[in-house]
Amino acid sequence: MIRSDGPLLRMRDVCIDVPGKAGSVRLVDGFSLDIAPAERVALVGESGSGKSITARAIMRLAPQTVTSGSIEFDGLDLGSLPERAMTRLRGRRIGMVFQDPMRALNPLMTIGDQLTESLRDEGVGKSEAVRRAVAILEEIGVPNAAQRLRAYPHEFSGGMRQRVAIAIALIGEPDLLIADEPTTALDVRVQRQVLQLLDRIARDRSLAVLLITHDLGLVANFVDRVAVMYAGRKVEDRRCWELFEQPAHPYTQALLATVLRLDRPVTRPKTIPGAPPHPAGRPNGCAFHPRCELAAPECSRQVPSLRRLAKGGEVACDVVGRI
Amino acid sequence: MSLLEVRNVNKSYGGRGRSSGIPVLRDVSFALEAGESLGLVGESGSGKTTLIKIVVGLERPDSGDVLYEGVERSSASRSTRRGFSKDVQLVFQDPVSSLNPRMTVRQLVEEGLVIHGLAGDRSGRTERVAEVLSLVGLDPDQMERLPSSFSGGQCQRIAIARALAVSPRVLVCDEAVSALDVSIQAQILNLLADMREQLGISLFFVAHDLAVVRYLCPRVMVMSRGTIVEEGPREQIFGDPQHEYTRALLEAVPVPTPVRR
Repeated sequence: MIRSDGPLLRMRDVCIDVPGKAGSVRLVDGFSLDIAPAERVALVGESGSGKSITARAIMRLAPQTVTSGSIEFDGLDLGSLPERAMTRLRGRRIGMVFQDPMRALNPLMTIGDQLTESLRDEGVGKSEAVRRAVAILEEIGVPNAAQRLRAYPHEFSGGMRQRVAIAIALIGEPDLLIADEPTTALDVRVQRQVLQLLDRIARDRSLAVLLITHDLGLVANFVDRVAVMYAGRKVEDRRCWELFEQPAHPYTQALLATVLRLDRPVTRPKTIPGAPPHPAGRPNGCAFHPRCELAAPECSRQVPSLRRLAKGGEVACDVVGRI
Repeated sequence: MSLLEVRNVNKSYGGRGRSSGIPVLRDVSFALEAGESLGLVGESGSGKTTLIKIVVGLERPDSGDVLYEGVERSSASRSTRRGFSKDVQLVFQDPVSSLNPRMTVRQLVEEGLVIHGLAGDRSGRTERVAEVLSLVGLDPDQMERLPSSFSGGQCQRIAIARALAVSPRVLVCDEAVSALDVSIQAQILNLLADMREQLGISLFFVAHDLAVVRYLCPRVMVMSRGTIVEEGPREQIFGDPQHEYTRALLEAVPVPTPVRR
């Protein structure tokens, strides 16, 4: 049950540091994000953008600690929550699905034991736990659910394994599902099935979803809002269709222009020069300025702060605002 | 005569004694012309990688043959096969794991030249290494560095330089951009398109990403369960697919145009 009125998830100025060879390295720098109950948000970025670390920090799974800032879930401050309470929150209120289901599942435990583990820990009786496990497998489209409880992960195909992983994440009936590249390891056709499944389940259960992905094409018809990360910072946060129609940040614009699309004539894709920076070598000022077509002298001097746009959403660029 | 031809190739894995194993490729035939870009799409398990291994000579087919300039590889002499392996070069998916981390960029790019006795002595080879590095957009002054000091996109450029150093006639790319970041993929795709154009080499581009194959290859083959189910110009494959499987694949690709809500 959701208790508070405000956003379900509220992240404020979150910074995450890791120790590096030459002092600590800031992986995530001043990240803020709100997710309302039943809202779906995508966190989009390239490797090293800090998107996965951010997601793990919510679950307190990151080996890196949140250096400053706050993460609240349904009014609870996750930073100060005792470990026992955090354990109860994971799985029960916040479910998580990872990219590679083979690694996320325990190869030595049956699917049934993995599904019922969290319920049994809470004192749910065995037959009730099994009944719920069968119900969720059926809901998620695993055929012969009752017999399949005794199977091991290796007996499932990649797509079925990911369905099982989703079932495990949902069996505690969480309010928020964090899905980190849930379809990246899957083939296109299976990818679509899993995404459609997530879409249906999120709708049926009024589930809030934080989808972490590098694939802009994937998010288009799945989420309400998109937050774009670059080099550990949020650079744009918009309603999904507005982002695709009129991206504001030069990075988002460039990223959308490089995507090859089957629904457009064959043309040479635009490229973004250079490569995303390593967190330890993040350029001064706006981290994107060395690769940006619109870069002005002041871009290298100060980090642009997120500004509200008149049509809604936020963008962190001092140049596009003037155009 | 085609530059490269795969003729009625069959391959099974896991056969022992009387059991014939699991068929991975079933009667696969196709031809690659000089200077052509040919694409192959298929899902995991369709046999793409096995076919690549057979094309470059890392695996032998159970039956059927690969012909290079009309010569059957199975009956070719050792030296002919050697020429064949120089002419058909491979670029792998993940540049970070396909490049030996303990070799410098110079050693990596030079290796093929040494093996095939090309470009003369050490100074000749250095010159050739510098030449291909600039061709792929890398600074020749960095040739003494290790792969670890380069980004993923730059490592893929190194891998392409390594393949191009021996002046191949065919570049076989196995998911050559799938491991790269979105903003880097387009750079490498354009580089491959330019290389093909400038050097007049053939490209055999294998990937699961349909849009990527459509951009690079005027002719495309679709593979499913070890057979080529459809082959044709990209206008047909993507505009008017004939096979049910091709249609299913195309339908599954997410359209990046969200509905207003």
